[in-house]
Amino acid sequence: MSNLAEIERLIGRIALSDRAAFDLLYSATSAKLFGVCLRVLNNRTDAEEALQDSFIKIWRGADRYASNGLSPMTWLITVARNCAIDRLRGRRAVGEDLEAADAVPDSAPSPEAAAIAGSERRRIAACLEELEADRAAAVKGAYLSGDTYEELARRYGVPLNTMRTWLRRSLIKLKDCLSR
Amino acid sequence: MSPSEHISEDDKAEAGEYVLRLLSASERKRFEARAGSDPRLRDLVRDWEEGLTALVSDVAPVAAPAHCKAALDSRLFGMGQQRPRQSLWQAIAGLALVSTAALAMFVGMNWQALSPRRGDTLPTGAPAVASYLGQIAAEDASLSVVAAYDPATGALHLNRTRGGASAQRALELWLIGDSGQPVSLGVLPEQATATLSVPQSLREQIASGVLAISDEPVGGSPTGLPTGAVLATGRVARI
Repeated sequence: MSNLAEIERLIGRIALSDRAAFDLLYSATSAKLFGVCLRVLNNRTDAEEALQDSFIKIWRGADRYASNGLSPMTWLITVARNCAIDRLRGRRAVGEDLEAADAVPDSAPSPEAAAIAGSERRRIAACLEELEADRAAAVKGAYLSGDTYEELARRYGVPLNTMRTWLRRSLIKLKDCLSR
Repeated sequence: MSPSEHISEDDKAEAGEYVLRLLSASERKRFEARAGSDPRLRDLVRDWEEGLTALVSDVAPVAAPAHCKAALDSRLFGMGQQRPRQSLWQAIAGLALVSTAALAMFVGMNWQALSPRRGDTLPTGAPAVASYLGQIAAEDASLSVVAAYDPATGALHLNRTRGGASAQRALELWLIGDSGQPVSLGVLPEQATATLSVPQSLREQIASGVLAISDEPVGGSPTGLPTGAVLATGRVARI
């Protein structure tokens, strides 16, 4: 898709320290990445910090982007999600209370989002449907909310090892489905 | 033996756990060390990332507050540093082929980002994806307005993303079309987003003409032509 090609080109220019390209990339993608950070962190202040962390990584890591083999939006989203999870885990580590949860909009996929993800979106949805509902929800929880095995085990009321065994089994199924 | 035969179920699961951030710190380190010397593991990680990223299509974009970008710039480039010498507009001009598509991405993905408040969507009546897009920007990037034109209704949707009118002054938008004479499209309101109706007679020229924003007295130019400095120019183009 040409939009992705343009994002890729901007990343290429950022690798050459082009700040104007950096501004454009920020304009084009920060709302999506901020949405991802908010989804993981459920807190605006933390999400703002995570968004900044993400773009710092993007600025510094753009020259290595080409070698990671990811499509550009996947790379950006991966960076943002990882930054958000780092903050989330850091927050838990220092025992901070979660602030009142922001109502993070959880929209039906917009036409734009659908255009970005396209067939990928349908594929993951179809493959998750092949899993039992609670296992699919656990995979989504880990991906979108940064849930740990401990949290998942507590939520589903099973011992940690059981949780891990059935999630790993689900992942193998999911991977086989995604590779089909 | 084909490469796929080497991929164990354990590796498939562990790469998934790695991407999902479910591994403990020590497991993570061990996995990364293994992946460092095993391209198949790196491929698995990439496939997992690509496969799972589509999950965020359900996550709504949310405009980050403006101070966030300022804080980012200051963290990356130091406090109080001036804007880069190359302006946003120059960059767009330089990226001639890129600009329209990048802006399409900008607007297509993130109309919400253009809105001043979280949760706001498009200005009333704006198309989900505009078919003409552009940016009206100052050379020094001190003023920047994203413009989306809907030929079906003649509505020009504007979002001022940077800068604004000086005190006791107004910003007026002009179209310089076939005649070469600026024709006023209206005065921009104080709020960042606005929708102006392009007069029927000018609609054909909207894509071929130049859009310009000038500094005018409150209420707009009294003469019907720009009286103050032209602060920003740009075009819209079909996407």
